[in-house]
Amino acid sequence: MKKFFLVLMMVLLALSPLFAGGSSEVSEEERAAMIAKADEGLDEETLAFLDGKDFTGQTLVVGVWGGVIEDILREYVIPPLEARGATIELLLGGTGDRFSKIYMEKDNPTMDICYLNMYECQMSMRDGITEEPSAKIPAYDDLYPWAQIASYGVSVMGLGIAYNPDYFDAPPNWNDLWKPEYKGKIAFPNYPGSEGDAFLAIAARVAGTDEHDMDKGFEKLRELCPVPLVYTNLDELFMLMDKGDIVAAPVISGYAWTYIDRGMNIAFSWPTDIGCVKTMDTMTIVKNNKHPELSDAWAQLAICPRTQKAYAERIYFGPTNSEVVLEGEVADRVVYGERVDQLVDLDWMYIIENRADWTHRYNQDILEYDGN
Amino acid sequence: MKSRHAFYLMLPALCMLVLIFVIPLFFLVAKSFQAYVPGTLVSPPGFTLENYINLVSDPYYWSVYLRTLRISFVSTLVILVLSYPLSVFISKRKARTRGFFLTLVILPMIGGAMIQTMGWFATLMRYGFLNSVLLAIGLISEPITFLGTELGVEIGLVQAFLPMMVYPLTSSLLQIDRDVVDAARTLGAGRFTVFSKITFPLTLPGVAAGSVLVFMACLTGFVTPSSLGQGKIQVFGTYAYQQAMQVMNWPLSSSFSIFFIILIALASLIVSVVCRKCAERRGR
Repeated sequence: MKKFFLVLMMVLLALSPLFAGGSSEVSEEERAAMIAKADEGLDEETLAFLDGKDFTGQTLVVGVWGGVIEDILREYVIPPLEARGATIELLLGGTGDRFSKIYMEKDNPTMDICYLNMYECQMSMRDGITEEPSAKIPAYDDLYPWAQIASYGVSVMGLGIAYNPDYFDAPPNWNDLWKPEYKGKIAFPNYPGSEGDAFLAIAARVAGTDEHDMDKGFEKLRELCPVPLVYTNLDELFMLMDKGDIVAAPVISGYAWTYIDRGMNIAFSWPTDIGCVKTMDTMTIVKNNKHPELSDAWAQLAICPRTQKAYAERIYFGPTNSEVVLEGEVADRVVYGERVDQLVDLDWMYIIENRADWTHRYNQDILEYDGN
Repeated sequence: MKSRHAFYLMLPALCMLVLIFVIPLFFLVAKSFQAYVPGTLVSPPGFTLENYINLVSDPYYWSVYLRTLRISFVSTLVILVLSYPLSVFISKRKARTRGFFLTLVILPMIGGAMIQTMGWFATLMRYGFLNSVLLAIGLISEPITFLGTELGVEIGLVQAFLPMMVYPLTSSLLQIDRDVVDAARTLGAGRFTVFSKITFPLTLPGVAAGSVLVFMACLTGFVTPSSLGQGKIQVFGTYAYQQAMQVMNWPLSSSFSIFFIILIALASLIVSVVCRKCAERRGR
């Protein structure tokens, strides 16, 4: 008798996935309702692109940053795909890890979508690791031309100046940071990286040249030394700025607003002498990925107006899609409208090609320089 | 027959070691002899010694090696000084209380290096907990900058790797025969003489084991120097990371790692030989 129950239990256990599968099966109506709910607020173009698609059984692996960006994707990009049967797996972390991963897995990629910085995508496309962006994604044509280079641009920011208003009579320009009274009081971004490279290029421009003559850039940057802080943590940076230990720092537009809203004694300036340096988060489709159709659907949802608007409203990252309409305070705080044309473009490929040398030099000539 | 059994027992660990250490190490060695082409991650075929020549000839790299060794040495020394009285205290407890204290010592390690480092980050900030306390009690008039300095990194390393010293030390202390200490006391030796002539020499194997463990851990530490050094304190781990993950110069990063593995092996060999010699001399 005991044996019989044991066998029965084993048979039931073996069959349980079938029962479970049966019970979780959704009816056509339920599926339609899920899709309708997930698609709420999507534009006509995106709806038409997704119409009739069924991704049942497919798992899309997406490498992306965590935090609020992850929240946005979970709220605006993932639901329409899950409603159509897809499973989405997010690999969260910094770009360095996933950039290495897609190179190591060149012949057999396990990642389908990879979010990168604007300079990395140029390198990966040239090396044949990621796909060239194309109009097979309908929203591609709505992207600004600079957001179509080597990837699908998902959000645009400008490197401007966060500052403590007690130490400046008016919103500072880049040149103002070199006034003698601010020596040793300007925080530096980490190098290498978007902000670090852009600040080095700004220093070169303040010296009257640009990133193609970096001897002048390094020379100029040394005038700000010693480096009081290499900021890797915005909480710390803005706390020190609030207290006046740091008077200003080159910061990506969007990062400062959260802290300003908390009532901290800081402000953000869009410098006009040289301009804000354009930085962009981009999305790439990994070449030879396992789910091309699902990857395209992700790409469309990632750059459609609904998602781009969420970026602007949640973290003040500007839209790369020219169809996005922003109003009021949000429009004022992001790279949008006229500001888009005022951004300074850097020669990122040149920067990348020189980064190894510049990093070596930065480590010695900037970080270890005591300013005397 | 016995040795064959031992081999089978060792096999799973051996497979894992080959799979996750030896094979990647082989790739690392191969990569370290490749050339770096700016603007791409794809190395051209061929063999070059350029990376190694740079690592030996450029004074900047020597400053990184020396800084890493200095920070590791200072941290190990401070850990030893702090751990010894703690281990003596723990070893004198009854078995159950001893277990409780040993658990307390190791507890922070369970949370992982990142959480501990984040805790230190908040504590050591210019307006963090430590500076606030020091300011409040009037010990300092201006906040001290800990983050981005060698001192900040050393504080983090000392806390992170303290348990690695406490365990072997406590174990050594527990092995000391009480009768030896009592005999010395009976013969008129004072507390200090007992410590310097009996207790300390007998715990030298524990000191050596703990020191090698801690020193190695400090040498290869990444999370602590990276967070508390804020990119300003370049040590082996942070430099290898910068080259591999930010500059994407894999050949240089690989050769740097291989070169440092050799340096670590040499350094740990010297430390263990010195400790063994000391122990032997004391033992005589």
